[in-house]
Amino acid sequence: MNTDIFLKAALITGVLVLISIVVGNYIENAAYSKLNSDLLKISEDNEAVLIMQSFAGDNDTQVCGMIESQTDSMNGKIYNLRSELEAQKSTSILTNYDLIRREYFLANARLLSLTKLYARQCGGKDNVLLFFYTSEKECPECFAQGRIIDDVRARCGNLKVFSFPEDVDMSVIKSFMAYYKVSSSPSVVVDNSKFDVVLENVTGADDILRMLDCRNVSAVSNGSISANGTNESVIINATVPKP
Amino acid sequence: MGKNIQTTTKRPFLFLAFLLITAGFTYWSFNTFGYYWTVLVPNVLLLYITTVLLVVYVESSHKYDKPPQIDEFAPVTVIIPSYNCKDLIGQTIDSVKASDYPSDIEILVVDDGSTDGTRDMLKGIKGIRLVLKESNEGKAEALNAAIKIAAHDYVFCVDSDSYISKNALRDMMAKMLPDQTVGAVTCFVKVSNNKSLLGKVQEIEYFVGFGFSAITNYMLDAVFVTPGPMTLFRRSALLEVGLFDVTNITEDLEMAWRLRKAGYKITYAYEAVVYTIVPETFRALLRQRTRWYRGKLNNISKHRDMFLNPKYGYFGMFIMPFSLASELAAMGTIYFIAYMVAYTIYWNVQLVLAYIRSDSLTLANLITGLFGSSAGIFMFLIVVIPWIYAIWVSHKLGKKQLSITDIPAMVFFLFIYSVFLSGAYVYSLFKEIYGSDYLW
Repeated sequence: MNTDIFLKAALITGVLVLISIVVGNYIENAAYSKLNSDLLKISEDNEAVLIMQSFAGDNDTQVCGMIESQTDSMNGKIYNLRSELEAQKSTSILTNYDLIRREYFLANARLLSLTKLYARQCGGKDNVLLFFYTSEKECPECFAQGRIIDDVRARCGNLKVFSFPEDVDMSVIKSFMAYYKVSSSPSVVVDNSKFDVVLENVTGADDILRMLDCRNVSAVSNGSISANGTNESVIINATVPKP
Repeated sequence: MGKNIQTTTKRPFLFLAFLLITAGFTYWSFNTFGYYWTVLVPNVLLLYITTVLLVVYVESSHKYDKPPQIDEFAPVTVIIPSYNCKDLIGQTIDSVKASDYPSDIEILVVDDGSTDGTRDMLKGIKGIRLVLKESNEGKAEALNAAIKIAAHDYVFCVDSDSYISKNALRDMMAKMLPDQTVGAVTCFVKVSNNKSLLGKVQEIEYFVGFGFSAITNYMLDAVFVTPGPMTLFRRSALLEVGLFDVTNITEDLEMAWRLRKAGYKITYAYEAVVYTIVPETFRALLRQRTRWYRGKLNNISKHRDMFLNPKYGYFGMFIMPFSLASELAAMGTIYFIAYMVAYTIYWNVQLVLAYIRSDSLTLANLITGLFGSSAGIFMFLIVVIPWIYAIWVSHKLGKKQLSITDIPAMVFFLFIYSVFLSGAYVYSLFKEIYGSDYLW
């Protein structure tokens, strides 16, 4: 029996598998590079704002316009980058996304800090929404809440959304969770001039919008904030109105 | 041909144990290595098996020996077992009569207890030798009865729902006569009812199976089935090995293995064509394939002494083990798909409930949730490319030009039909382990 055919076939199979790995790797690397490049730009923009703020000083309101436009623009980009990043992470089989994800969340945290700085220094009236979700295991509720927040963002002109996974071991995320007293996911934190609340479980768009001070809000149904119940959103730490 | 062949002892505990072990192993593998790496292993195995056949084809197909010129042909008996086939058997008999075979042909029709008027129809046909059995005892019994009384030394066994090409008898006998060690000659089986999508898909499958795979098996001297639609046998070889096994649900497969064990060669003449009818519904197809795959498993068990036995050359060392391995690999794929389907259902139910609880159930949300991101499938594409080549080669062998209208059937064959067949393997395996009754 001629065993050459088995050896040749093994060689060809090996080559084909290698080709598929190389091609897969190339495509994943290309996607990774693009994400990395986008993230780098956002980080540079973050740094630019911090540099200008340090340059101008705490009481100098001349930089307020620049901070406002930069944070508006960066928030949109960083928010969209999250979906791309999580999608790439879930479909990638050859590339490790841990480092880039950590850099992303750090950039996100810096931007949140800049947004709060703008509010203090320049009297900004933006609504801030923090969204805590589970990323290391499947969470259909988190997916649903994410979609709802997309809807809220589309309907509220001056809303800034910052998303953080509650199950990634980063001290800045843990600090935010401790600060806002977040203990589960999905959770949404509304932080604006009127409210400082944590909404646990899945919260509907209208319920969130009623707590926001939006510049151009689309139709919101009348009615009070939904009452507590085992299957409905839970409001804790509510202060109505803020002093 | 219409009867339960045998009932068997049921093995529910073995069935449950097998299910738990295989499902548990799959679950463990998914969680340890991830979905994609788990599925990669069976796909690489399938790729390797396909590549072996491709290498054989590329290196050896040009050495294929066409049917030689023969000066004198021996008379032959064409056996047609019949059961409730009055609409089809006429065409079968006519195709035999229209053959260009240059010697005597005895057409021996054995009616196996038909109840639909077939017997009366057959009595009115001239030029055939008709044997009427009192009761329905199955195809194998009918064939055996005919072989015992056949007038000639070479017998063709032809299914009553099939018809042959004009040159079939001549080209197959030309492969039989010069070599006394040949026990059987097989041919190219094609699909006659290829109008529906399922018919076209099976046509592709038969082209690949009886074209590409058959010629590569032949070049390896490892032809492993004497197909029921038509095979030529040396009558003395059949008598020597004990005729067809009446308890076997795939007697054509089992006969091939028994002939090989007895030292006979099985050759192949792709120039000879038989057209057969294939199932036209998925239900009927599943029933047929369950019988085939259970029969194969049964025969592997019965002839396990041939398994990985170098005495039987490529047949024992490659065809048998790799055939089993590819079915186990298909099983792995099915577990993956079943897991993903179950998980997707769980995910979507949870998603819908979350939307309902938050009063956010909209069509847009539902669509985005249900059609989530898909994984990279480069490995799958690499497996598919050799198969496209195999399909092209098979059609070339079968002298059928591929056209743009064949593309939907090809896509269906590559991406959906293969999943269905994998499911049929798994279904058959579980039925075999459980001990379900054997049905025709």
